[in-house]
Amino acid sequence: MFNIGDDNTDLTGGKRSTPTRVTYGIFVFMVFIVLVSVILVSEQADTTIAKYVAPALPFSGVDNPVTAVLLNFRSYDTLLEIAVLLIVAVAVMPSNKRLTAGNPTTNGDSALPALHGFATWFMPITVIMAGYLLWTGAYAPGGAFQAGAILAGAGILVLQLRSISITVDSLLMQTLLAIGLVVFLGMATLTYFFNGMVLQYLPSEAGWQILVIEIAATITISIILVMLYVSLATDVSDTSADEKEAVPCSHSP
Amino acid sequence: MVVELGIDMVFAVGLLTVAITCLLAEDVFKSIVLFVCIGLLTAIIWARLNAWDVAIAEAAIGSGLTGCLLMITLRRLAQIPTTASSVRRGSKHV
Repeated sequence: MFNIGDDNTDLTGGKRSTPTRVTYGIFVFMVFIVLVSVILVSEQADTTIAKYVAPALPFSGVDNPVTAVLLNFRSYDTLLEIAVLLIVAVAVMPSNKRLTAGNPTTNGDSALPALHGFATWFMPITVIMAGYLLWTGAYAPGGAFQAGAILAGAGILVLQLRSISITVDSLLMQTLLAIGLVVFLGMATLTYFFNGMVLQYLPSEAGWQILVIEIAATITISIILVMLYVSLATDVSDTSADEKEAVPCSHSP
Repeated sequence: MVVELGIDMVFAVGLLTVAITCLLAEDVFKSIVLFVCIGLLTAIIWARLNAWDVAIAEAAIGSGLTGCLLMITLRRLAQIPTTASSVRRGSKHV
């Protein structure tokens, strides 16, 4: 699966001996154990905000106080955040709409077999992890932003393979970019007509409403972050349209 | 109690050290790599402060995605044709 080269040289060019490698391995493993145990010994902190959120938590539809604040008590702020993300995506959308993140090569890029193996094995795991984080945001740390960020990481990893390209002005891309804001605004309109106030959830229905908004927000956040990457990762020769006005200092003597 | 204080001091001093090294590095590429390390240390500190959602978001977006965007920005900066040859990977004096 991985093409492991035998490149075991140190900084001066000599080969590392086996006891040195074992020592380095033990040291790295000890650092790893320290990092994990640090996270495990953390105890519950009692902050003042938690005292206000805790009594209202059963009426919010979720069990995680962070998700309750983000998507129920302060859902208007999250709506504006999604809108700002969409504005950022429109602002960095490349002028050359049909572009590729790097040159598409033939299937099976033999120059980077480790990358191919890694991406092939990691992509499904990352997608499942993102779905898990999205679902468990109601009960444990997680939520839409975390799932969207991890899904964007998987998308960027797939784009490293250079065997796929992205058409930015396709209908699918535009739909995925806008679906978060559209679903959020639709939910706001529905709650206005059914409950009398914008983004006012009934405690019995708040659970699935928050889940619907989170699913759309995850898709939008991941696509917008991948769009940020794609807009920067294209070579300058691909975007001949914006090369003229992009860098004003390139013509100074 | 003392062990926890020691671990927190290690993380605080380490984060400050990595941040200062990131600012003083003579290579832009080195600064970006140290920026990713800052993101990782900050994620662990968020976990120490019991803010788990922020830790996940910091590890994914703050260090991973921002580091990736900085790298490809650096690559794109090197591709823009300029008269001065200093806009290339390595120099901080653009």
